[in-house]
Amino acid sequence: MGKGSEVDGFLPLKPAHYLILLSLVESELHGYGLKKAIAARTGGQVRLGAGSLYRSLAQLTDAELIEPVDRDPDPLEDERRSYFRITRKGREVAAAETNRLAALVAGARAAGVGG
Amino acid sequence: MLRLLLLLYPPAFREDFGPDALRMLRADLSEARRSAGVLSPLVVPRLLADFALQGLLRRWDGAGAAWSGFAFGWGQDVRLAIRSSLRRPGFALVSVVSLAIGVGVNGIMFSVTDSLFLQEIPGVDEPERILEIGTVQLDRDRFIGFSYPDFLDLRAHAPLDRAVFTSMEAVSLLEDDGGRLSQAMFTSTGYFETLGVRPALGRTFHAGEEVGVGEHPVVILSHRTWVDRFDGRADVLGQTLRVNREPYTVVGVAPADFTGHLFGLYPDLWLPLTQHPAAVSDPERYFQSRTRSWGAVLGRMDSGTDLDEVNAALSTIFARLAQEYPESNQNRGARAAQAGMAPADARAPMMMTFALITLLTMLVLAATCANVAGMLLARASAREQEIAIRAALGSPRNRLVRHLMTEAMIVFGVGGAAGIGLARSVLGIDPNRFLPVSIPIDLDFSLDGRLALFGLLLTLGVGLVFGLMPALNVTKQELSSTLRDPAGGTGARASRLRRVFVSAQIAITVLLLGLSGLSLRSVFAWADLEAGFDIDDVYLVSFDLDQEGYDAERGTVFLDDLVAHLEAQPEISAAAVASEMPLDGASSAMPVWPDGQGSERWVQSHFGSVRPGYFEMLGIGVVRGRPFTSTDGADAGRVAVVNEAFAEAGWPDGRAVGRTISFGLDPATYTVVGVVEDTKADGITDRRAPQVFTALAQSWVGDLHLAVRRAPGAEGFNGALNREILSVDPAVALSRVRSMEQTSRVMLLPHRLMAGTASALGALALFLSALGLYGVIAFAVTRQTREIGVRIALGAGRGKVIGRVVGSGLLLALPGTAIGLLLSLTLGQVIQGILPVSAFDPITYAGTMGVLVVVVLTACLAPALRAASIHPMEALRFE
Repeated sequence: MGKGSEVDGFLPLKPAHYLILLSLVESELHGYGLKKAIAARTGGQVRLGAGSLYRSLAQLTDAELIEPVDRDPDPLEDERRSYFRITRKGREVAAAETNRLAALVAGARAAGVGG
Repeated sequence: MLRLLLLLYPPAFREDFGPDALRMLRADLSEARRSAGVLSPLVVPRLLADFALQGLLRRWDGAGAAWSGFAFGWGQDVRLAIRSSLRRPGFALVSVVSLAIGVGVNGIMFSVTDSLFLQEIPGVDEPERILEIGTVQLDRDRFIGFSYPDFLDLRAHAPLDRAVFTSMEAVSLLEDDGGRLSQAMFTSTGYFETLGVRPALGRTFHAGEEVGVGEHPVVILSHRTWVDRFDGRADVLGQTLRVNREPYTVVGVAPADFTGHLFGLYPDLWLPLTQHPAAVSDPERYFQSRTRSWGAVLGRMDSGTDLDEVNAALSTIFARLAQEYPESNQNRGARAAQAGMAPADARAPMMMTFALITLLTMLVLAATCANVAGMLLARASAREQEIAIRAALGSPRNRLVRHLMTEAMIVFGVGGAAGIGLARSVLGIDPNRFLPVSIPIDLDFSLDGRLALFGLLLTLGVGLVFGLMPALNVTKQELSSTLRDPAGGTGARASRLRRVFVSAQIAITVLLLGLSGLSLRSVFAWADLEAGFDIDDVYLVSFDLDQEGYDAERGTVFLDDLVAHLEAQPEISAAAVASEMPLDGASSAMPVWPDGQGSERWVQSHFGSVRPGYFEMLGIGVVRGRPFTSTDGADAGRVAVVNEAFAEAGWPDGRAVGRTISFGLDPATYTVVGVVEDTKADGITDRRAPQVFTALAQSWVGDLHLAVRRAPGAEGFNGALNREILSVDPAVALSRVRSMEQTSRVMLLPHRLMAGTASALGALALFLSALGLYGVIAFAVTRQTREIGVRIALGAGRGKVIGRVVGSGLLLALPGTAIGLLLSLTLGQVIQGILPVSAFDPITYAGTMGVLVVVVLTACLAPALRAASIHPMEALRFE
């Protein structure tokens, strides 16, 4: 069983999972930062609740698509928070999902749907 | 507080993400409050609910934590499961229907038990402090009523806030279109205050109404009477109502949610105790005698007192009373119990019956679950190869288990929900539609949400256990072996498990069949004897002529007048009077000496004093000699009539006419002049018992029953009977009129209920067992297709193949049958006391075995025929 099929096994990704992975591609973030990044990325359309966000983070951690980071506390913050970063497998899955979506969008455009 | 929500998440999550998630939740909440403003009550709960829900969902994730394809959500499992269930609608239908019945029957039983034994009196303040207090005969441990003076002592000395004396009586309520028998609760002052019930209108009884017998014609209406008779008008206070033909003034109306303190008996009226008809006719005896027990006592405990203290105080009070009034209070004690819907003294035997039925229904649910689990297992086994392939392709075990579990949960969930729906609709039926009683019984058995939820969760829990077993079993397989040999693999283990399920089912079925057989045999046994006399169109009414001031001489004249008057009415074809009526329960028995008093041999016998015409009127045949006639008067020679059972028991040759007997302590001898057919003296469940009758004019008893036979086609009869009796003596206090048929049916009700329940459950269990057995055998045949094919190819006859399959079915049924028989015999012994047949009744067990063998053969027939039709060539190709 090749690696491709391992990655494909995750597709299609849930939108929330996809957005989390995309946000982590750019930088390591803690939960609150992720929430803000996702809201910004979607123009405020997607607002994840605390439960949904952290459950997604736990799922993605289980699947080894992201991992928590040990990191010194930010001197400007008063409390220690967990940061997350994307793994190599996570990047591959995010890329595969992007390609899947791109193909989907391309197909749709070819059929005259959308611009 | 928010921290508690975190508990919904699995521990690992709490450890890793708990504080961060909580911090974010707090931030979300405060932002929501700020931005949503007045709308925040709408937003905040949604946030909290989402947080809680995600926690539960995370637990599901946890179940598949090792599984990497998490994006394959649970929703997909559900869709898959529904799709695969719909592909095999037979399986889904049978599972759901049998679960629905199993859960539904349990829901009904739980709900009825709950309303009978666990509910408090509705509409009452602090019901847990209300006590029901009865006097008991210490040597017999039986509840008897309270006498009024005993009640006064209790009220004065017991640690009770309040106590009240009550007596329920039928009264006639005169309406525009004639009299109507109504239930009236006569109470001493303080009834409503004791219960903490405030009237919806007007007032309750005041202290002045407790003295002055017959001087307080006031009435408090039940809410229902108020609505029915006065259309709920507010100006009802001060209006007049005719109770027992006397004008009464309405002074109050009870609130709608208060339906009386007795289970199922919603009084129409409340009246002052001083208006009680029998008490009015003989106040001295009713209000001053300690031997006249005619009421029940309700009390409200002092706050800070408990039941034990009350009972201890009652013992002290009654010990003192026993010393002061030994002639009436010797051996008399009192006991308090928390008042509930079922009367305290009836609770134990009722609970026994209900516990038994509940046990049976739970057994059926267990059988149902075993059956559905068996079917799930069979399906899982049949899909073994599919599962093996998926496992080989890297689908982890957790995932497969979850998939199979989801299927199980859906079947159990839908079945459970359907069962609760079934229970709700059955419980919604008004029980008065099938309960043969003449006073309307107010029962509310409706299934409450709490119970429904409990039932559903229980079913899901059971589904989890029964779904997990097959799922674990099937996935615990050796991959390679299953792929190589489709007929091997876990099949052996799975089918062992299924054999266990089927054996358990058969054991439960045999137990239920045995019990339903015993109950059915009992009902038939009683039904046979029911024809001891002709009960159609016979109505009973009771009165006590001693209390009405009649002696034997005047009483005889009154009865002669009464019977003559009644028989002259077109609605009535015949009338009879006796101290005991058959089937009416509560019959006394005493020793009767057939060879003269004090001799060694005596026969314990029921006894009744009857007026001439009694046997003829009830249709009890005279076998030998003659019945009583009007010549058997007080001055004539003392005569008796015995029944056949007594004649056989009393004299070896059975020839009774002309012999003499004497009874009890009465030194007189009575000459037997006739022998009559046996009837049931003490209720229809009574065994054939010896009976002796004497002439009422010769051995006077004032506590009498009048039986009349209605003329064909007569209508509006209850009122007519009362009116005619009252026209001979307007003062006589009458019991409610009851039909003998109803009386007999009420006596049989518990047994019918038992027989009905056990039979229905037995039939269900039988069906389930047949299904389970069929499944196992059919599965085995499929598995052995190749082997059977080889045998046929080698020349085994079709008959032999069929024999083998059927034989294996019978063998499979054997252990379960043995266990079931053993259980049934054991339980039969426990309930022997309420059965007229032996717990070892051979007909019952022969029948059970017969039915079982037929069902086993039927279940095996289709697979056996299929086995016999196996073509050797195809079998060898079969995989």
